[in-house]
Amino acid sequence: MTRVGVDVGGTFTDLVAVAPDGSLEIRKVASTPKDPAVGLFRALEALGSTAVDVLIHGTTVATNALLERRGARVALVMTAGFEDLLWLRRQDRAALYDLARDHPPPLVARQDVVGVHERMGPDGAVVPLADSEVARITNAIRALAPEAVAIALLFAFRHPAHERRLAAALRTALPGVPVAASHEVLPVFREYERTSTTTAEAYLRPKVSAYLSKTAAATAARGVRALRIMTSSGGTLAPEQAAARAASLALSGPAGGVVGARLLGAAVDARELLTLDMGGTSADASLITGGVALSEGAESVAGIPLALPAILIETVSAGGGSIASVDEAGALRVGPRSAGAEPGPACYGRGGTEPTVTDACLVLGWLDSEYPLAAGVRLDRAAAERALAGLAGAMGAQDARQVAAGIVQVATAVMARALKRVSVARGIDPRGMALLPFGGAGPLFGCALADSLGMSRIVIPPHPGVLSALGLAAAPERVEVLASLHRPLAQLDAAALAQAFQPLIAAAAAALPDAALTRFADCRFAGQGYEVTVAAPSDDPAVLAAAFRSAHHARHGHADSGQAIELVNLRAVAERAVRSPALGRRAGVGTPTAGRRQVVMRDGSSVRAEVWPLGELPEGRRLKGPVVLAGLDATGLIEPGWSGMVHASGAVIVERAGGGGGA
Amino acid sequence: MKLDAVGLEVMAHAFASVAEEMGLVLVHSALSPNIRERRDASAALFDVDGEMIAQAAHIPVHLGALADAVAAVRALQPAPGELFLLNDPYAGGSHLPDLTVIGAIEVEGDVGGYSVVRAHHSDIGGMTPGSMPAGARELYQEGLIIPPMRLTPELERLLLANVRTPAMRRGDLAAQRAAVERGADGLRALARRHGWSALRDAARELLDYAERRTKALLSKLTVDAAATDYLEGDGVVDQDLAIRVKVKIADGVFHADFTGTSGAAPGNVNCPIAVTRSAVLFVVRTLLPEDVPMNGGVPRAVVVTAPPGCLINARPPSAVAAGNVETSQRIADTVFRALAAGGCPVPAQGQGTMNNVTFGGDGWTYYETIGGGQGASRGAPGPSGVHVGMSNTRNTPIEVLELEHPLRVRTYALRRGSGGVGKWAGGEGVVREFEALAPMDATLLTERRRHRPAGAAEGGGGAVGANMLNGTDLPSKTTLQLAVGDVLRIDTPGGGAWGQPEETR
Repeated sequence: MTRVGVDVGGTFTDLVAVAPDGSLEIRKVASTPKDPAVGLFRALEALGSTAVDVLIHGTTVATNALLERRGARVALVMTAGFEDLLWLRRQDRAALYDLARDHPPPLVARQDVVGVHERMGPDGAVVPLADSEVARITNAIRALAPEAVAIALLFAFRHPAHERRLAAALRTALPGVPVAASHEVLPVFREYERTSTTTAEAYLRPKVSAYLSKTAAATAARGVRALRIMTSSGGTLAPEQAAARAASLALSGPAGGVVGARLLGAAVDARELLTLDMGGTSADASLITGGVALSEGAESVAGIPLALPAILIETVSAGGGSIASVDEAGALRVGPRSAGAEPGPACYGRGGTEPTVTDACLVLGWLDSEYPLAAGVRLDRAAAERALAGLAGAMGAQDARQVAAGIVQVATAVMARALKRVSVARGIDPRGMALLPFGGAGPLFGCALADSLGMSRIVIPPHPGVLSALGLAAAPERVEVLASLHRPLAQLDAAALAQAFQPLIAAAAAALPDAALTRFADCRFAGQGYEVTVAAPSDDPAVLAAAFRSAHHARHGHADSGQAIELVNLRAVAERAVRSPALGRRAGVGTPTAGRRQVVMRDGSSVRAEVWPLGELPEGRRLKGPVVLAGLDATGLIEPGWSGMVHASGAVIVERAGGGGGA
Repeated sequence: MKLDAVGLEVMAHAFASVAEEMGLVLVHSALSPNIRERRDASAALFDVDGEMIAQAAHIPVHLGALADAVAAVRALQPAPGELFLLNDPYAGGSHLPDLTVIGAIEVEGDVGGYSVVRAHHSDIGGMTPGSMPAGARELYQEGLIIPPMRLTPELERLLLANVRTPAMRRGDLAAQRAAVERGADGLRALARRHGWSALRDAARELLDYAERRTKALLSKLTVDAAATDYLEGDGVVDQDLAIRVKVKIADGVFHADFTGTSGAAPGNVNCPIAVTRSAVLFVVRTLLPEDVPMNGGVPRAVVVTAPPGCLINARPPSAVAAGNVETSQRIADTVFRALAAGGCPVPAQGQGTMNNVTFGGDGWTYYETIGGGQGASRGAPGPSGVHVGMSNTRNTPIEVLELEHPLRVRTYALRRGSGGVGKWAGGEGVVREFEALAPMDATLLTERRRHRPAGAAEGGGGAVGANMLNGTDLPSKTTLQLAVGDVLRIDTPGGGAWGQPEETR
């Protein structure tokens, strides 16, 4: 069975095909932002006549619809008296000191919000929902002629009866118009976040489902037997399931990378990993602990709060195209402005004149102007030097080289902050973990980032530039179901706990038959506002309590054994794993030889480095920094003081020379 | 080590991440809605000399004021690793509900700096549940006063014996302690990585850098102008209380002189000078580019003077509960107004109040503040339904509020038409209506109920706010008893507009 992962990024569309024998085929074509499906099919064409059994797709359709505000016209039904909720947000302002700045507007127009006379409280109906009111709302929505409808009533996470009646009436009255109800989309408390998420679901659903059905039809016509879609939580759904969970695709793109990182980590026996995907305009940090990607509700995507389960991803504006500048008091900055793919860094020779991170890497000799980037872009070193020299005066630097060293240091600091937010800031010490940098330029920064976090082990993938597509090919099929419970743990016995989980387990099993089912519980000390998610394999409440206390202590540094525990949400996950590709069995590997060239380190020193082809090195080969790892899809750097060893998977494991620990 | 352009950026990120971590530990493990949902709290890292190195961006009113708390603790000659607690407004505090926990960070056997977490607790004893009384005349009526002291189990027992909700206070204090510990761990980790003496030099240079940036910006401005604005009574007397300021910006230094401000008020709108400095610092901060690190270097370019014992440089035993939340807003408003008079194109006035609402009944207390209209800027309308000026707390979700307290929210909406009319409109205020489901006390501390937030450049003013019980107007500052079924409605003020409307010009 051949599984194919296709990752449609902003600049490139990457494809990785895993053959039945586990060997890999890699294709990279230019993305087609106007119609991403075109790039997808070009990549498939490039694969030739290979029969494709399953195609797993990571898509930015939902992300881009949010970023560009090109979703459906939504009508929103809310409890009367609270129609302004999406405008009131959480009442904090957009910026503490910039008084002119406002939040991005909601996805729905205010005149398209309809208030319904009903009210649920914590204990059930306070104001009943009359049949005449259901009819009035149905007529009002019909008159608005929306492309999609969202329903979000107060306390529907606990008492969904009113939402159910309205949803049924609207679905009957408006066939063909998708209706998203908050108790179906996100049955958890906090009305603003639930309403925002439900509105996003309705906003995205027509566009996402049209794209998915078109893609499903076209892939079927191409002979692809099955299509699966990646979600923000790192598992895949069938297209028709994904179409009804459109908001859960908001981080479909970056999630594939994290799955790929987890897979590679497992192959090299690294279960505690910090991952960093460095792209053209930004870098995404994530964390894998115990072999599992850390999953927490995404705070927001494109300024829209989305509280759905998602792999934890922290994004910072530091990518290859990020522009460097010097502020009025003499500090060097990198990003958030980016040269993007057009015009791109100065060295692309497409008209860019501002200095970028890629220009700095070229001037330092980390990239080779004789060696085209995967894009087929020839790098113009003189153009990069001219762009960097422009900053030398303002920085008090002597030459372009010194400017370049500064830029990579600042870019490192910005990326390190994202890595800290996913680790240290959550009480997870990165020093015992391995760093897995990927994306086209990520592996150039591995040693620098490891230094700044006190880490002493780096895993450089054999094909860092297409790790996301590889992750897609290997992603498990996965459905997650959750529900709010809000009960003191002390009130539950084993039978009650089992009974509470039962409907979730049934729903998860129905959505994905023959899958492995696991249970999780979001717990907190009574009165807290944030939960810690722990696995709940046992029905014994005492076992759950102990697991929560220990997780809370690890995360927050304290856990009062006398304090009552509250069970807030229950989760059931159905997961069907797929056979992992045998990494390192890539066709067409020759016998590599080392080149040599002069490169400049980030401290400004110039050294002579060996240059080896990444992804084509034999198992067991030892590499002593400084070494440049030049791959077809990415470049890596082993700095002096670090040494590498080629793993059977083709990954290079880099450790501090002499085995000494870091900071 | 002399930091170059690169080092400055690297170290600013490093220190800022430590403060961010402290803030996350606090809100993720605190118990009270006021800290965990509304984030009425701040976390900061100070150097051994008592200057702030980094702060998590939470609440402006805590901004400059934390330095006084660290100074008060330093006077006690802390030993490495010791923990301190204070809330005395006259010895490093702001108002009594703000409990500040300070850790003397041990680095290489000595005190290497201070880890500081201030959080607003929703009860600290005193005459009304929630400890935000209207009508207090002395600090002693507002709650338990804790001068800077070592945080021992005995002190904690004393504190818990004096508050209405001891279990919640104990949980919130545990979260504060954990956040302080996290700050200490973070600083030690940085010291290990960079070397302790290099790290100390880096912190000093970052302060110098922020000072340079601040002075560079201020030296482009020349202002010499005065303004007066008013508080609307103090819960004891109803007459206006004047705040007068003369702002002079020269040679890169911002000087605010409050000579001419009213004397001490009999009620609790007085504030200690630390709060006044925070308000002035907030205004200066809005003039700076966003990327200037917020540290002790910025206040080096700011001088604040005020007659001792006046409304905004209070002396014991003046009551201060509303000073921190309301008077601080008016101080910022007045300083902005002086800048406008001096020719700076600053925004119009925002709602200028935090609309403090406190409820309390049998065994529970609840405190919240409500957003309103932001003033318009030249080139942009004022945002609606947000906190302005010295506060930036979030709301409490209705579903959290009703799950935990005998209250029902009947309406939560934008107050249409309340924003000032002009070329760029002022932001809209908010309507929030509560129904009591049990007998309870309620206290309101509000402002801008008779003087509207002013527009700028001839823009119209925002609408004044209103407080109502079952449809009948209430005073701006009052304590009352609610019976089951009573409806308390708060209409918050709109923001002022910027510039005349197009059609009238």
